[in-house]
Amino acid sequence: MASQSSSEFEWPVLYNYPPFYTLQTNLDTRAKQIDAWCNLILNYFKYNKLYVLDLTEALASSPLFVNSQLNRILSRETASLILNTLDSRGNLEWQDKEKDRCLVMWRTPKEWGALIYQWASDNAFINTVCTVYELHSGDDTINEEFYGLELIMVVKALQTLQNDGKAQIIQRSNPDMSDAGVKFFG
Amino acid sequence: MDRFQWCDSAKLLPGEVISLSKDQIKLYDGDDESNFQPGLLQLTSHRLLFHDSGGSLLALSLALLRDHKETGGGLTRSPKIELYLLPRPQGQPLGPIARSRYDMVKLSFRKGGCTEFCSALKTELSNKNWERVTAGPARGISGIERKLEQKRQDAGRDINVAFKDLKALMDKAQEMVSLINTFATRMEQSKGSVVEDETIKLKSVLLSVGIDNPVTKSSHGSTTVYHQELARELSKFLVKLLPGENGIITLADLYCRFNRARGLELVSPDDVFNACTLFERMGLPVRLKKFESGVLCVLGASHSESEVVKRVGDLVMKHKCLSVQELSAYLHISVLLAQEHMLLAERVGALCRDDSVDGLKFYTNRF
Repeated sequence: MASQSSSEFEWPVLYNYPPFYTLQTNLDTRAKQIDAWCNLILNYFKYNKLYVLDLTEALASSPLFVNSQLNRILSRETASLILNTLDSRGNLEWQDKEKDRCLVMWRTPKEWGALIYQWASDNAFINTVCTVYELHSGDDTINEEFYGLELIMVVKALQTLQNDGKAQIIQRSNPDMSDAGVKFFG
Repeated sequence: MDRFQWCDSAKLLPGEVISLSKDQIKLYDGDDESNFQPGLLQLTSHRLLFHDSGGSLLALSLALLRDHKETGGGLTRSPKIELYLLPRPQGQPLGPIARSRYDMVKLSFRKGGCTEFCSALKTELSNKNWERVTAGPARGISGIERKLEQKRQDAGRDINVAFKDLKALMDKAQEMVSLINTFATRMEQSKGSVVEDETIKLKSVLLSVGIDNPVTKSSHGSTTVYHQELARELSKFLVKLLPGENGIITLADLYCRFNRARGLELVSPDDVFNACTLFERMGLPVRLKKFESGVLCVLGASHSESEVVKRVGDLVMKHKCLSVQELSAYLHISVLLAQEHMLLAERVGALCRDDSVDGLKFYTNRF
């Protein structure tokens, strides 16, 4: 998606450290290793504005997991372990039962929700209805961080607002909510 | 001497072969000199033939020989062979001497050749060619049976001979150890006359031979006492050995080195292991340690893990990364031990691993 900018991404020192790609047996070392991987994945996704990770595809071609310079590839088991750790930290959500596709949430839905609500109140959209499409692809949000955000993330963000009583989602005919609307409350 | 028979002609028996002839041989009946003049003695595959210088011919069947002994000569006495004989077979016609009080005859080799004759005799006696002919051609089932019986007897005899040699070797080995010790003492005394380098070399050989009085099961009846004594001996041995081995040695290596040092009276792996388990209880300055991988090692009581970790860590740092094999080469230790060192260093967090197609390598922990 945004692979052209990945060349500018500043890889951490550990990225060129061969043991980084072998799951460590010492539990203390392993905890640090997984921590480093979690940070790397979140930073990489944030930098490239990526949201969805296809594990099979990433292990085959993404520079994130494939270091062709060192000739090292993260094993699927290790990658799954890292992603599950991200899941338990609330930074990831699996999209399928096989745990192959997931949503990498370098910002949690609550944080996104706060950003959207901030925009709505700054731009006098309180008590008016916006479409979800407007939020992530509309002309008014082109300079916002959530511009181009994955639909499913937008919906999740709005749901957190709804739970806090700050917004109401108005569902239409499409089950994936692509045509839904939202009303912000003051 | 009554076992000898007259012979009419020098004609050989069917299948008989002359293997050795010696002249100037004097015959003795027991300890008494016989009346026969010194003459030519022939050893054949079947008999001993004696041509007395008077022209008479005597024969003694090799089948009647029970044993023989070589008695060395002196300044004034010629070397002799004593032949011990079996009783005279029933029905054998009387020979030149009808009755003798001796079951032994002596052959005196006035012109030498006694040893040569003796070894030829030995060969013929073990070949037992005379039996083969009297047994007749091997035909039919009885022939096969006879052949099998023959083979069995041969095998039995070979085994006896082989073990006799082994026992003789064991007896000699003890003597060798004491001999080497004598050399060692002598070397100490005559320092300087031998090149320093050679002294060191010989000493190292001596050191690995030199357990003078090995603890054996037979010398220490009950197994507990035996193992305790063995533990003491092992400990003494290890105190000398360990400093050269970086303070640690695998049990398997120890077993080999220890048995090599004993030279004889070898101990079983089980006994070494059992003795090693007693180290701590007996308050000896060495310890048996079992690594998580199951590898057993013996180390000095003062051996410190942190020191090992530091040494391994420094070495890895210097080389950026090391495999187990490389470490074993740098430290001159076994691969097994090198692996334990690596795993120890990894366990305490000094190293971490890189498992790739190039094999397992260890790096300084940078996490």
